[in-house]
Amino acid sequence: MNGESTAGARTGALVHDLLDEATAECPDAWAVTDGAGRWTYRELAAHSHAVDVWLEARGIGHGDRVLVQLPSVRELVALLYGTARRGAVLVPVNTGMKDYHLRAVVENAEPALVVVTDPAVERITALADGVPVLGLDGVWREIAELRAVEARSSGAQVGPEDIAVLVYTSGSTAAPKAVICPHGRMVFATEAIGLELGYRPDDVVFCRFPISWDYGLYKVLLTAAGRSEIVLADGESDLVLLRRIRETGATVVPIVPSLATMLCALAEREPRRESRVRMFTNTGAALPKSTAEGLRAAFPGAEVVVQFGQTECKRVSVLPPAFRDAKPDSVGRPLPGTRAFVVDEEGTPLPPWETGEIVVEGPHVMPGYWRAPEQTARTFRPAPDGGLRLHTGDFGHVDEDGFLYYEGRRDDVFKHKGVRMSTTEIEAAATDVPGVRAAAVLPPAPGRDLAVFAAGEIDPHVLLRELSLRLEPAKVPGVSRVVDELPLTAHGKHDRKQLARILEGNAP
Amino acid sequence: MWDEQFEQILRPFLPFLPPQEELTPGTELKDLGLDSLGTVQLLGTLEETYQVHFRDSALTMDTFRTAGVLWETVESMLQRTAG
Repeated sequence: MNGESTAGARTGALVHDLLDEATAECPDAWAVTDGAGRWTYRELAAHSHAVDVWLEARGIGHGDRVLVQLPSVRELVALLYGTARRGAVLVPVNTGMKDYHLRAVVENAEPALVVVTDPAVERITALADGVPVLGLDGVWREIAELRAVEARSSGAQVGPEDIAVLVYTSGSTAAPKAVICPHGRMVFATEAIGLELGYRPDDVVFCRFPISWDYGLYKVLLTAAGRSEIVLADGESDLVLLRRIRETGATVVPIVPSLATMLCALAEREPRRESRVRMFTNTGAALPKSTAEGLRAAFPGAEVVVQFGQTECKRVSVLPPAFRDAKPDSVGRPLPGTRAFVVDEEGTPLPPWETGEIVVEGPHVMPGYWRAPEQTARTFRPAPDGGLRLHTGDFGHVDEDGFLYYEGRRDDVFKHKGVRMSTTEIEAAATDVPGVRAAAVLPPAPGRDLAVFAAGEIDPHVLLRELSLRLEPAKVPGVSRVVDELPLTAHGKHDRKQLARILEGNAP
Repeated sequence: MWDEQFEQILRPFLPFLPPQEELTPGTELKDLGLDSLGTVQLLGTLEETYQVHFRDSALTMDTFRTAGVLWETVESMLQRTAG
């Protein structure tokens, strides 16, 4: 179904090959910019070698996990490539992740080393159970010294099947689980996406998403593959987002719908000015038509590209702008060199327009979840023709040209503010709150925000505050209701239809 | 202290604050549930209601850290307009 050649997407390359190839080709091009400064590819590569040496000196070797909870800064990009060089595994966790989940992640990942911001060292040491926890400032002083003398490690044997990164993500379980991301599959996914998006050497990609999220992580790799520059932005600059986008000369801006809404709100209070943005790439959820139109009005000439996927294979499909008018409701076609189609309950492929589960095959399908054999076996099943078939849990259909259409899910998993989560994990956090006897969560729907219902002795606002201490911001519901008893179905499950009615009845 | 209108505008952006609980000038708005999108929308609402324009130098998260600091910023703009 894919007209594009797959010649460009390799399966046997390493994550740091992307950096080394970019450095060889254009050493003096800008590679990465953050709030504090800028590095060329040559400088980034030199720093990544210094990280490699530093890790070696600390005894970090093949397969050791290095857990980092750091904001989006250049140092983190160097840590990513340096850890890859070492053959070790980077475990980037969201800075918004609270102790409640972080403890479980540390237990599951068993890191050999943890690097966090200096103020967090004491707190993380307390939950890291004897693992060395270091502050970035001190770590970076040592790495900068190694970089100054152009230090090189004794080298490490790294192959495409070796794990480069563990990406923790939410699923149908209460605790986060990690998708295993080996070098070869990460590079394949990167290059296949690159073929569809076409990043160029003159592109400046404005990344407002954390590198702990695969959306941000792959932007780092995509910009290296495209010889482009990445600008790392965090929440501190949200009020001046438009100005930053203009000042940095950004040409590509990855978005989720809530970020697009914010950009439109900011654009309304400023007269239209010049911008270089040529492309917005969306993921996380469908972009409302009004938001897409708002973006095009504020950034004349910019395209909005639809994408669809999940960490388990990085990306399922992209809808190139050329097909926007012909297939406005599609979430795109499978990445070049991969397959995505729809099957029935027995795993038999369904003809076009029939609804079933979307499954994915190809060199971008990751090998499974870290230390979770049962969940791995359920989600990553053997494909009839060899390799793995990823069962996405997403339901939809394909058309006669093989383009995908997403319809929804049938489990407890949903997306909010672009982030995947489940009712299970929010309900688990809510019942952890003192005073809550039982809790139920209603996923967001058109015209209805994510809502939590609790039975117990607690103020609904206090419940949200307590949840914000246990969950990262995107997972905190917008609506909270305290009820006498939670409505149950005849089967004893949460009656979500009744919950929706309660919400509508109480709505202002 | 701020005028009534200011608190009326602010409260809907603070989902963790029970209606019967007092809004104190020093409490971190983030701890009361003000997020990035809320901050941007709050900015637009304040500008529209008070007919003021936040200067670029005031567009930092520090300005929106507490109700006290935010009101001071709004008030100083109102005084400039009046003067």
